[in-house]
Amino acid sequence: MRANSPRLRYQATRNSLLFSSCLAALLLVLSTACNTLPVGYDQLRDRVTGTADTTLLPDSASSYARYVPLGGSSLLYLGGDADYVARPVLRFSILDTMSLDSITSFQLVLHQPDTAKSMGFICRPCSSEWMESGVSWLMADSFNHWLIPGGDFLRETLATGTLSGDSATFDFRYAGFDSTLKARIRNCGIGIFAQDTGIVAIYAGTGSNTTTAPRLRVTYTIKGKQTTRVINDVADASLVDTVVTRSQPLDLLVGSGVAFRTWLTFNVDSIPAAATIAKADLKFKPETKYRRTDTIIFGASRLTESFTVKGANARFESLPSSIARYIVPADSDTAVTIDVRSLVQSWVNYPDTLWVNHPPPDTLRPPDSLRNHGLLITSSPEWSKLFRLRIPRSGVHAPRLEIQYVLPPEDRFR
Amino acid sequence: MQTANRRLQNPRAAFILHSAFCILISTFSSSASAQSFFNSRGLGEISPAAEARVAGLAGPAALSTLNPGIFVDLNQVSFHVTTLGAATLGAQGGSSRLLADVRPAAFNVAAPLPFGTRVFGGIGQKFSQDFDIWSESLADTAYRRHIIGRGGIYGLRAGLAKSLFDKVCIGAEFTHMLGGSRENWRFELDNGGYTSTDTIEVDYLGNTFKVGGSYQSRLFSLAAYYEPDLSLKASRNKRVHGVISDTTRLYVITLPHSFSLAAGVNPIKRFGVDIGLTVNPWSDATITDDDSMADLGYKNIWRGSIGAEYEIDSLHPVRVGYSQQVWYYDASIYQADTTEHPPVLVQVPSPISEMGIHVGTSVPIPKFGALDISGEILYRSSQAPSSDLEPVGPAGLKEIAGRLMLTLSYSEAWSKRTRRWGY
Repeated sequence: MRANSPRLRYQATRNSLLFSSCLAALLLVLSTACNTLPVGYDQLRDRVTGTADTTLLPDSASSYARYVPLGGSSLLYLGGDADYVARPVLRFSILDTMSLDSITSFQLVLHQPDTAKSMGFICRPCSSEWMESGVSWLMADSFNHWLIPGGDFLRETLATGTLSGDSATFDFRYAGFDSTLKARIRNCGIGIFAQDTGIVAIYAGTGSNTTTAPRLRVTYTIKGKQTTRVINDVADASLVDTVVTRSQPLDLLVGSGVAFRTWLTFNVDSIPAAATIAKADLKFKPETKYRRTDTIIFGASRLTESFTVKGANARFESLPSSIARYIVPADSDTAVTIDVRSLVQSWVNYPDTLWVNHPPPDTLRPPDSLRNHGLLITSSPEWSKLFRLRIPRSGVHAPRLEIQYVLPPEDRFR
Repeated sequence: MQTANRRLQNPRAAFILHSAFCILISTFSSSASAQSFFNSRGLGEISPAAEARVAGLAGPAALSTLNPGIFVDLNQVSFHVTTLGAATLGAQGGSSRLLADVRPAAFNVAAPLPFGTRVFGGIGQKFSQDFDIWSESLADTAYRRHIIGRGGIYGLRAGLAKSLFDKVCIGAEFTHMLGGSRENWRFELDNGGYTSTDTIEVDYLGNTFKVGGSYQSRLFSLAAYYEPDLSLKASRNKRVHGVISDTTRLYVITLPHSFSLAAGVNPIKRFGVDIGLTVNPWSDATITDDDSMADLGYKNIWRGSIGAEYEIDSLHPVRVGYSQQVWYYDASIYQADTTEHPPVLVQVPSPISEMGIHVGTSVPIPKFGALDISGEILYRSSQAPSSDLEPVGPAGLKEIAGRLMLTLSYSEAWSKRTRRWGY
């Protein structure tokens, strides 16, 4: 009865109208408050001095290869083909105090991602110590070379067999060796050598699930009770070599495993120092020479030293300024595009004239590391799945730098 | 009876005072921001007289504290603190954007001295250079420019006035002009970040003098002030990408004199009407840079207003007003001269016209003063003059601005009289 009274109905209608009006006003405000439409931009247009597009070709280009540490990789490579040869080295933390009298079995367990492949192998102890962060085909760590490129190994056989399926377990000879050799295995680790052709991948202990990491499985008896202990590897890396370093030296290559790096310089003197780089795309269409992955990641790193002076020893920024993902096409003509805007902006901000006009010991002379020494195109990271691409030196697929820049605004009063 | 009234009034007064102070303090703690899409040009919008009481009457400047000779009736120490909330809806070429902000607007204080003299001072904004504008996407890229201008030119005023015969007042004030603007020209990436920023900073400095006078009787009031040439020394510094500093540029902007007139009449009890006229003949405004002088291209303009006040009762006045003006600088519109081959893009100056409707009232605060409130709706538009040129790009820019002004007015002794300082 009360709900139907005219006064209440009037109030309800009034409230709903009020609410609707508020909601409509709120929606109107929200729709116009948050947008970024160019209202009023023509009032500033005469202060915008203009944009310019330019395309630059490399002034210089070169390529070199480096044996790089591959300890960060999540895969270890074993085997050899026409392009690469690879062997993993592993190290386990085996306690030297472990009583081995009661051991009933000592096994090496390896897992591989490609269950269709098989590979015969033999496992030998290393004779030199190595560091995961520095070990490569040539170096045992950051400072010491192997005595023999590819690693120093003893002749004793620790394990042998054929890797197949998703995981394989092999008897590992350890308990029977003398204490000197045991100590060497503990300290220097082991190497695995392929006995067949082709390359297989093995899961590493880095970055992968610990259940697939290389491990030793030790079964022993304590007080009549059989116990199994798993010892995961504490360090692992692939030692990779390639024959490509010695062929086609003029090719511009980018690759992982054995790192191939391509150096390019572009002369940006034609761009005013005050310009804002709106776009700087480095484009090229590579030719795939070798790959074990469909997705390749490129990095562009700024050189901080002159390549023409120091060659392959020229320093560069370890973290790439920008990266680009490239899906290797089966038959399309997809090009690689790397956004190097920050690099180009840096080169433009510090033109060569700063160094020419301020010879040493002028305090206004900027540090040499800021100079335009060019950029390096690398695999990112260089321990990623094996690949090697060739960048054409000339032609429509050769590298080119497409730049769009905008000059700073004019003053409010002119 | 008085005690009972005090008991009733005190909680109300405390509530109003508390609310007013909260609003004012919260706005004073915020920073000023965007006001008008037209502010990117010239010296920016001429800021209105920052008194809600005057704004409700359409802003006759000569009847505000901008006139140093307005203090006929001042018989106690008074001050005004004003805060301004503004929202501007800009529309152009089918797009629209809303800018909004709340900011402190002005502070004025005046005190009577012996022999009918008064001393007064204050600070307020003279020009606003706040704007916030996006560009369209640059060709073939996802990058856009976002240009944010912040700042303005402020006047720090101090003056003396002399009241004569309780009906006339003359006064003079010295104003130190100072302020600055900072424009950030940013590049926005498609992911929302900024890739670089170019910054242009301009600092302004100047001094000016103003004289004014008023005649106020029960039926009729007249007021006027005159401001001679204003020279603003400007110092510009430009930083590109935040790294490269351009050399500092110094120049002087000279604005010719200006004056304002107003008249008020109270034909019947509780009702008054006023008209105002402010003239800025600024076509001779110049910029001097390294001994070379150039015309700024400003115009001779005027602003007219008419307002009325009706007191519903002795404590609750209602004010309405209408104003019209043309801005002292032109907006720009681009048109194509098709008689040339290929067609040439021509920048056509287009006048910015503004009309406004103003309302206001006052809420008395017992034992303190009053809270003056005004609301304004302003319509601004820039239209290109008719020509043979062919329109290109977006059409003229239109703005609808809403302003809410609150002025907390303190009088040393509460007075029932609602008419203050000039009408």
